[in-house]
Amino acid sequence: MNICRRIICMGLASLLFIGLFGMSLAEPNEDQKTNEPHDGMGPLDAKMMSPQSTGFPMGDPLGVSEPNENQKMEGPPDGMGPLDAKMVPPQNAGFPMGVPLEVLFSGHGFALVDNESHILRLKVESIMPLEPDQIKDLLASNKSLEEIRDDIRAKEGEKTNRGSMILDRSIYPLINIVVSPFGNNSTSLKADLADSGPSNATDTAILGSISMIISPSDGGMIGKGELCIEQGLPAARYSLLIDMDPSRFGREKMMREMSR
Amino acid sequence: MAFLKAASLAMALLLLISPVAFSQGGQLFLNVYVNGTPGKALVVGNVDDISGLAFLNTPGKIYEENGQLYAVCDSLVEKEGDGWKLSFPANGYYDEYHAVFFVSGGFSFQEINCTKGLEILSSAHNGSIVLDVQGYGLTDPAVSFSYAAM
Repeated sequence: MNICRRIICMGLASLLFIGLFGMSLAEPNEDQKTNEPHDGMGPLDAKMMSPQSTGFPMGDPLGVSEPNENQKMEGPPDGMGPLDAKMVPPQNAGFPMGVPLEVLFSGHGFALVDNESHILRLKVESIMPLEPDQIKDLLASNKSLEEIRDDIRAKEGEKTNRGSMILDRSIYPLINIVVSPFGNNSTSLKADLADSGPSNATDTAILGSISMIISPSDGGMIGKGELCIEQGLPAARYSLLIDMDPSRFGREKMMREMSR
Repeated sequence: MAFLKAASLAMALLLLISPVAFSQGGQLFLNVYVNGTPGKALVVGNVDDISGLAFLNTPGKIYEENGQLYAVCDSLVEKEGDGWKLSFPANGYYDEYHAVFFVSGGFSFQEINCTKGLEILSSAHNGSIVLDVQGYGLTDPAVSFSYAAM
């Protein structure tokens, strides 16, 4: 009996240790190791990096993956005045303006090519378009919030999709998003990757495309498909495996509407 | 026998108090629209817990329905030098964070600061500037950026 008790005590102690260790791993990733700051930039400088150096995709995906090193927002360090702030060149219209309605798909997984695996996040949401003039009018008016809501909802019939993909640490806007039923409770998602670098606002360059089927699997949803990056680096054809997060804010509603 | 029961209970509790349970956080999906003339910002979207957004603690300035949040804030933007600065702090732990900022009126970004772990994407279109900020598993994420007339 004593031996049995000892074994159980050891088991409990092990579980406690594993639990505590796991908790420490589950802490938010504030201290997560990331890429080093730009050459010549010390920690102080990194807190006030100009927009170009804080992760903006500027055409070359490799050049935009630098993380933000400033853990907390702080005031400008002494010696860094307005002259240090570089202007951001105009970029294309990768993201349409609109009010987020529903997160249609949100997931994380991997893009695989050869022996490499890259962390990938994908998100598609439906939005109601909201034009700058409309925002200006709403803010200038003395309308109540309920009236503002009604004004925004008046355009619900015009809703569209907005999406983005984070490959490693670079965000790519998704355009030409097509979501369609694929049978067996599966959904097909196709989209193009827009170049978020400087360009003519009327001519959005397409870097590649993504195509995947999202299907139920073991009580969850799994997305499998292909990511093809044709321009820029790393140009390659990736296989995708994405664990889709549980739906939030009405994906079921959207699926019901699609099946009508 | 009683010891075995107690041990079983303890094991079950340990399994319940798992790291997953501790890592649960909220989600934030918000769009912030700022007119070129600073002073007011329209905040629309979904957030699990608005208590983490101190700038929304203004009675009568928030409307929430079916998870959709509508708010008008006049404390997000302040004058800074020749331009303006928008500060968007959020307290708490967020599993998923996605904020999009729209500023209309012919401005350009001057400087952007974000909490480590947030990825950003900017664009400009028809005189509006857009900053898309996304991150996962973040504590007290904060975004601030300054902008000025082109």
